[in-house]
Amino acid sequence: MIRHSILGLVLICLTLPVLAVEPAEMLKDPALEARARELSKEVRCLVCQNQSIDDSNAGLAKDLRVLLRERLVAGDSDAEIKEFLVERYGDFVLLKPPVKASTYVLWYGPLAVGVLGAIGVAVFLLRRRGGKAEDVAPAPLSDEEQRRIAALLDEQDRKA
Amino acid sequence: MVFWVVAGVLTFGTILLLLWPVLSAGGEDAAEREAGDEALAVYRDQLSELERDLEAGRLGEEEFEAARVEVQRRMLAASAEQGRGDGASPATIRKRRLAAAVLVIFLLPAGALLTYVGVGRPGLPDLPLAKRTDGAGTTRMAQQSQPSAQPQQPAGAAAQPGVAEMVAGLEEKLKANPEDADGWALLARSYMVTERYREAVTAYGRALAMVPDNIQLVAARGEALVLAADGMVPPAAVEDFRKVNMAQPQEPRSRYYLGLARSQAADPVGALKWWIALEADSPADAPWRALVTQRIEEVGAEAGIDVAALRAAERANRPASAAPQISRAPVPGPTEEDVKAAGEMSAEDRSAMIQSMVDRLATRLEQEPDDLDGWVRLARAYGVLGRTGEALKAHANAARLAPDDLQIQLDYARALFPPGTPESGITDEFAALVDHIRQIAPDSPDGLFYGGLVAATRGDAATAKELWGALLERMGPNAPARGMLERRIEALGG
Amino acid sequence: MSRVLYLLPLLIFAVIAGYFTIPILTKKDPRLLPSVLIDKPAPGHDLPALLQDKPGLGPEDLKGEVKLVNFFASWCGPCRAEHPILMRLAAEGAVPLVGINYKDRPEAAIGWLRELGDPFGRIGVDADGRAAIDWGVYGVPETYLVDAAGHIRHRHVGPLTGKALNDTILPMVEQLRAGKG
Repeated sequence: MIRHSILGLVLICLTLPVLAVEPAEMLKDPALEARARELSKEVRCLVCQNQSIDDSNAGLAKDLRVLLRERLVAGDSDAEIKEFLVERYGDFVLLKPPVKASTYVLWYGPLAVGVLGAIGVAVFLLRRRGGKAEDVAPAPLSDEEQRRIAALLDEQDRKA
Repeated sequence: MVFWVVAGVLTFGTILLLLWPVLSAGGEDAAEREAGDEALAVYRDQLSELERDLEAGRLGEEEFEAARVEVQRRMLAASAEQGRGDGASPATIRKRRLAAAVLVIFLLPAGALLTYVGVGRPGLPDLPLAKRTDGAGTTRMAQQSQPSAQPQQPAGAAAQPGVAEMVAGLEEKLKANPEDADGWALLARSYMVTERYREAVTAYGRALAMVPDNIQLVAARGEALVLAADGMVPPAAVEDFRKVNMAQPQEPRSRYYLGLARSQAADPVGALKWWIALEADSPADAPWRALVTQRIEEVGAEAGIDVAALRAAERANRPASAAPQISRAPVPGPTEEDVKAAGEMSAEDRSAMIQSMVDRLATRLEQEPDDLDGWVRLARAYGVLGRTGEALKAHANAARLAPDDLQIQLDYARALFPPGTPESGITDEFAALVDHIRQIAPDSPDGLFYGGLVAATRGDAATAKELWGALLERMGPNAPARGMLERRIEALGG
Repeated sequence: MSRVLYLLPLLIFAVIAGYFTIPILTKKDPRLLPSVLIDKPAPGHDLPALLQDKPGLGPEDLKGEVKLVNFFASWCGPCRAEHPILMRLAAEGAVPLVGINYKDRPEAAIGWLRELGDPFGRIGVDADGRAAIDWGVYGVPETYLVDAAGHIRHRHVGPLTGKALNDTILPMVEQLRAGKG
């Protein structure tokens, strides 16, 4: 049953989103409508979860679009509307989550991984160059190294 | 089979991809070794050149020493790289390669197979897009859950071109002659075949209005209700199946669905009680047995209940001789459910046709008030229509005409004291009727039950206890009403 | 040392793979999200009654006792699946049930309750889904546990199951009742 309903939801979400916003929903004031469109691109359709309500045909998305326009007309600011939604659905309702302590990993995690990687690469490169740079002050070979050189030369002699 | 071939090919391809670098590394290695040898030769030349330079005085002793160490170090580095840094001999390297190859060849398919056996479901049928709707899925499930041995019906009217015409013809015929119970039953079955379950429910209701005691029809309507509700067992179906179970305690379909209803109400213990008893009563070759066993295992596993222990208890509970007890005589006992089922039939039969039929019958009975059969039928019809007041009057008339007919007296009692009535609703009329019933049939379970009820409400706990105790003795050990009765006796106090 | 370094990418991969795989293996539904309204007052709405003989839902009706608020609709398949459980709760008198009929045709909802039984003590009609938005409902069925003070204490997304009921909801009901006396 659950699987079926999820499948159904997925199918709803797969339908062409071209005309998700119905003409009847649109506001007469083009400036307000433009704000509504921008804003609804940032609000997640909680049924489909990976679409904005601007793209989604799901019932809840439509309700949220209409609600959002109502509040715009009533004079709410974008931030106020977002807050209204977050109060009910949590940060998850915003496709772009806010930067705060609990989302630091989300926001800065990739950066941290990138910096770590860069440090790793730098260390690797420096080490390699460091190995070559030793010839500035060549230490004499140890006995062990002398023996191996001798063995190598011997081997070459045999092969030649 | 196709699946295994495809999976095999994919696994083989994966192994090849993984083995490629391991095996071809051998060749690369040889090339590398050669390149390494060349490098060593170059360094060697450089060394001899340095020596010549020293001899020719182009280099100072210190410069020569520094340059020589540098070249020698490079030689060492080159040779170390050739030996993969850890100085492992070619033999060990070959061994390691072999080990890696063996690991890939054996561990990969073994791991994949184990994972698949654990997680995969090779028996899962395809779910073509056309079938992917809620209705189709659950309908099929409900059909599979039918423990009856009915042959699987082909789905959809399209599969049976003849059925649609037959249905149309039947509908026509019944319009002309609506009092044909067999016709309604046949129409209902045709609706079932064409998956028009809601209409099947109505048609079965029509048939049952005329032959209310046909248990097969009651069971069939119960099943239609389940299929109409997408595999859920709605309260109306529960009532039907309880009625069937009262009349025929061994009937497997009703027991299965009554268990399913408990399971759907998140009562695994109740579900297992029904199903384990059904399983124990089912012959080994019963077509529904595998399904019942499977459901027992599923529900037991989900709820973490030890079904083996329950089965053992069930076996210990019954006489060794009577393994499949299909022959055990049914012990009819009155229950809340029974009373309820008898009192209110389906509410879906409110059609103009029945109304007019009933009205005609009522008019006729006004002129011929001594027609017992007529009153019985009228009472049932009113009951179906939910006109309880008029049903009661008809029941009273029937009871007046047949004072010694137990069934008719009981029907009257049920009409007087319908289900859900608080016990304060017991009237003197009802008490007198119960006394009468007890006189004509002192052993009637219904009489015993009602007698106890009347005594209990009048504060006569001793009599109530005596009557209900006698009833309890008459009941089978698995009668569903047992628990209810035991609770009532307990409530009477010491 | 250097060999351990070579294994590091594999290790990181294993950690990330584990992070994504474990929820799948433990059957945790990634769609389930905690409600932000937990421990906050349940939204007060004046919802009209669905049935003539059963009251609707006013802002004050959610206070007074522990109860379950269930959003349902006749067009919703999973609601059908959980309905026997609600019927059982009502029959056993385990906890009072309040129904909110979500974006439904009244006659369809009434027929639905007639067919499957009506477990609710009150039924409010949320015809346009506005009340549901204030509750943070994603889709029916959803069930909320509301305490005697009218605060939301638990949210169950999707059809109720025996497991959710026995392991979480009913123990919480007991706890809330014991806590408040």
